[in-house]
Amino acid sequence: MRILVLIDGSKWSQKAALHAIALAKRKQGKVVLFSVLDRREAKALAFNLGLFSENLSEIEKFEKEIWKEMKGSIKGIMSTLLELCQKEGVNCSFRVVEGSAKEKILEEANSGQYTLVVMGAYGRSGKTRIGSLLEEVVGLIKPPVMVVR
Amino acid sequence: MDIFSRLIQRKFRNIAGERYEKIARRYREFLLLPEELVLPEINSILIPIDRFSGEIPSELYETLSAYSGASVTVVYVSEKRTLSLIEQTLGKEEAEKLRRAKMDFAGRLSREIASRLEKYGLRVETKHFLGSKSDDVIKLMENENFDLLILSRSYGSEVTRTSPVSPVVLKIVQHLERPVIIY
Repeated sequence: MRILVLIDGSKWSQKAALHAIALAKRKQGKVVLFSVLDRREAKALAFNLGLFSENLSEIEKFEKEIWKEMKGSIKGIMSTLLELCQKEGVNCSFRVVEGSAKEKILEEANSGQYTLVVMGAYGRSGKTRIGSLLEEVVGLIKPPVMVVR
Repeated sequence: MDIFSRLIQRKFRNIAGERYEKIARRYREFLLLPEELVLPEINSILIPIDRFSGEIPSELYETLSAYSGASVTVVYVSEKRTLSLIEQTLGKEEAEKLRRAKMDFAGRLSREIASRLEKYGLRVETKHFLGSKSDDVIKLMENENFDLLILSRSYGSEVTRTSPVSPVVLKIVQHLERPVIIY
C-alpha cells in the first residue's frame, strides 16, 4: 500500500499526514509526503510586501527571501513528519517540486503508484471554507481521496 | 511534544521571541497542537450508498482492510422527496411498487458490499432508510459519532466531466468535522 500525502504547510495537511502514517503503520505500507511550491506565490507576496512597505525597489530581494523561506518551511515540516514516521516504524519519503499545484498534484496522484491520496480540507488561509484546491482536484484524482480536518 | 516544540520554535524563530506563548495561543487555528499530534484511531465507519454510487474500487477495500476490527455501517439511502413526488403524480400503489423495488435493490447491493468487507475482518451492519441523502448522512455522522465517512464521488447524483464530484458529496464534506474518503 502506497499513500500519497499532499502537504501545503497548513495544520490540516499535517493532520492528513497523521492519518496516512496511522494507516501505513497498520498495513506496513509506504507514505510519500508531497509538496508543490509555486513561485508565483512568492512573487505575489513580494509584490504585496513591496507595496505595503512602500519599498517596491526591493521587490526582487523580497521575492528571493520569501522563496527561500517557503522552501525552508516546507522542508522543516517534512523532516518533522519523517521523524514521526521513523518513530512509528513507517516507511516514508518526501518530494518537493516546483510548479502549478493543481497540475503537479494531478500528475503525481494519477501516476498509478498510489492506493490512496490524503489531503487536508483547508489551505493555509485557514478554516473559512473547504479549500479551493481540494474542490478543484478531488474529482480529478483517480485513487480514493481522504479529506482530513 | 518534542516534535511540536521544535516545529513552533522553527516557525517563530527570531520572530516571536518572548511573545511566543501569546502568539501560539492566538494563532492556534493554524498550528498543530500537542494533543493533536497523535496517530488517529478509526473504530467506526459509515458508508452511505445509493443507485448512483457505483462499485467500490479494490484500492478502497485494501485501505479499509487496515481498519480490521472496526465496525462498518453500510446504509442505503433513498431520497424521500422522490417517492413523495411519485406518490403525488402516479398514486400510492405505484409509489409502493417503487419503494419495494428500491428495498430489494438496496438489500442486494448492501449485502454484496458487506460480504466483501467482512472478508477483511470488518464487522458490518446494513441499513436502508428513506430520507435526505445529505442532511441525514450529516446527522448520522454527528449523532452516532462515526470516525470516518466513505462516499462515492457520484453519491446523490450522476457526475459529468465538468462536475466530477456530486454536489451532494460536496455539501456533506463541507459540513463534517470527521475525515471523509471519496472514491
